[in-house]
Amino acid sequence: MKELNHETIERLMVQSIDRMVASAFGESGLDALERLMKCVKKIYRHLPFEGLSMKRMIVFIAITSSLSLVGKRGRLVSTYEELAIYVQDTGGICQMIEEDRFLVWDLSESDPLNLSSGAIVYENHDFVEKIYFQNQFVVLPEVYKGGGSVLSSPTYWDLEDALEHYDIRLARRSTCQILKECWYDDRRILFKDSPEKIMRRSLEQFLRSRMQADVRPEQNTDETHPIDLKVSWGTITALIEIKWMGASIKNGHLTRHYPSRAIQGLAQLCNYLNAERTSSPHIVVRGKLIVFDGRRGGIRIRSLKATRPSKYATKEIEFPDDMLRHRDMLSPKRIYMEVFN
Amino acid sequence: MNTNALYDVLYILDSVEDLSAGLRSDYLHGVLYLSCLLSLVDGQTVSQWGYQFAETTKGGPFSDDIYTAVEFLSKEGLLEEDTKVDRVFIGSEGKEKLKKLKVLKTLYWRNRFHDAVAYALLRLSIQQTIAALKREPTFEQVDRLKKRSILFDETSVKYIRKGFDLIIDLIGRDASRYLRLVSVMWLETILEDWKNADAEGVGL
Repeated sequence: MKELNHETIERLMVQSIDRMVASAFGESGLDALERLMKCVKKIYRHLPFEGLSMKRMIVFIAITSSLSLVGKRGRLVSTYEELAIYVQDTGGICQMIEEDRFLVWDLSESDPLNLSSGAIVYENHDFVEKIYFQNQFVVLPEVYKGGGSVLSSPTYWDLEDALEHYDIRLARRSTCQILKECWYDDRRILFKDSPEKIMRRSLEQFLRSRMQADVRPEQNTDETHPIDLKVSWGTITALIEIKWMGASIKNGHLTRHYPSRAIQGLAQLCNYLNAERTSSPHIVVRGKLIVFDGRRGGIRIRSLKATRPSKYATKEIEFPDDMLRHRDMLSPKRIYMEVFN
Repeated sequence: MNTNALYDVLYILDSVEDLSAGLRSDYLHGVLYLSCLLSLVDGQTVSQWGYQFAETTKGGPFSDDIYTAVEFLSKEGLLEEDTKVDRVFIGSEGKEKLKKLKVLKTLYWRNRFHDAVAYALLRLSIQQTIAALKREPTFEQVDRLKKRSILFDETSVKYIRKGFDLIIDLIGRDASRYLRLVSVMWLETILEDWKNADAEGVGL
């Protein structure tokens, strides 16, 4: 049985935040560190780390004085929900005074290193997390590949991961048993009539089995436009709109959907997001457009062939900038569905 | 019904309530396995913990007593389950029950081990914690061809204690909150050793 490596233990001990905080502030420092991390974790239950639109957030607990370390008088906030709303757009500085009582300021008021002379300070600056104490700091390691915080459960990044898997393993070659039903022919040149219902069912089944989230189909965001899928992690939500491009056939007649259809979908999603922001300001919502792309070049209906089947394989959709820049929009995903060779 | 298991389920779910939206049932078994391991730090024996853990063909660590306790508590309305996402939560009646049990001398000695686990869950993600537990040397050594292997025998307990002692030698047993630090450091060391072994292309 292999024993723990002594050198590893010694190295980790040197890097240990607990040890450093204990030597800086003693027992009260360790107590503050634990309360600070709990506090940040609670904030991220209302404000998903991965979907943050603000650039910087600072949270601290004073050790040397019960008085505020920030010059100006702060605004008192008494719930985590309210705190999340305050910081979600522009960021801010929060001082935890006691359980569920905070003072908040604008970011311009102070910097974390100065604060740390008498406080334990957490900072998230562009997804880099640091803990400051007594004029020094340690960087918290990333938990997931490409980012992620130990203080937050994965939400939107988990969704992006899942969609990537769905794209490569299940949709691209139509290996998903449900999705393959959307094709009219075996070579995958034409879609059946109204393939979006099959696409939605395929994606819904996949996300349900893959994600630790509540996945529901056709949710009304307003009276006229239901959204295709809604994925929720508590008060954090992703609205998914599904569109397709290519040609479908019904009674010998083709219906073609072009990139304008995808752009229309993104515009619809912008409207949903605006409606959600007005009706449920306490819920964090992001939108995701999924475009199933089955376009083929030079379709011959009689022979069910395409002279340039992969013409659009790498042809991305040009979406209007203002829609892509919508504060609550995640990047649209085009899933190119290959022809069968 | 195993009272220790019943108490442990309520206590740990209450401790993590604010931090995560409940716990997946297999993770619940995992974190209570860590509590049990930590009790060895203070010279307790596994039999003093009051119930056993096993590795089964369906995975592990798994405890029959925890499984039965969750079923019982859910049926009695003390726990709430979200079957869609396989999560279990403590309910308000569960909290009331826990308040009453917490004062019992026969149970409150267990709190410090659960508190140390809750602290580890603050510092590491639940996925990292479970990954570390499954790479813990005694767990790795389990014979997976057997349908069910009881975790911990005399040799494995000796090795686990030895690992804890290496850490305590550096921290000092009199250090404040040393149990919390031991739990974090022990898990981090396993993950780091595993990462290094992986990079060198050898298994632990």
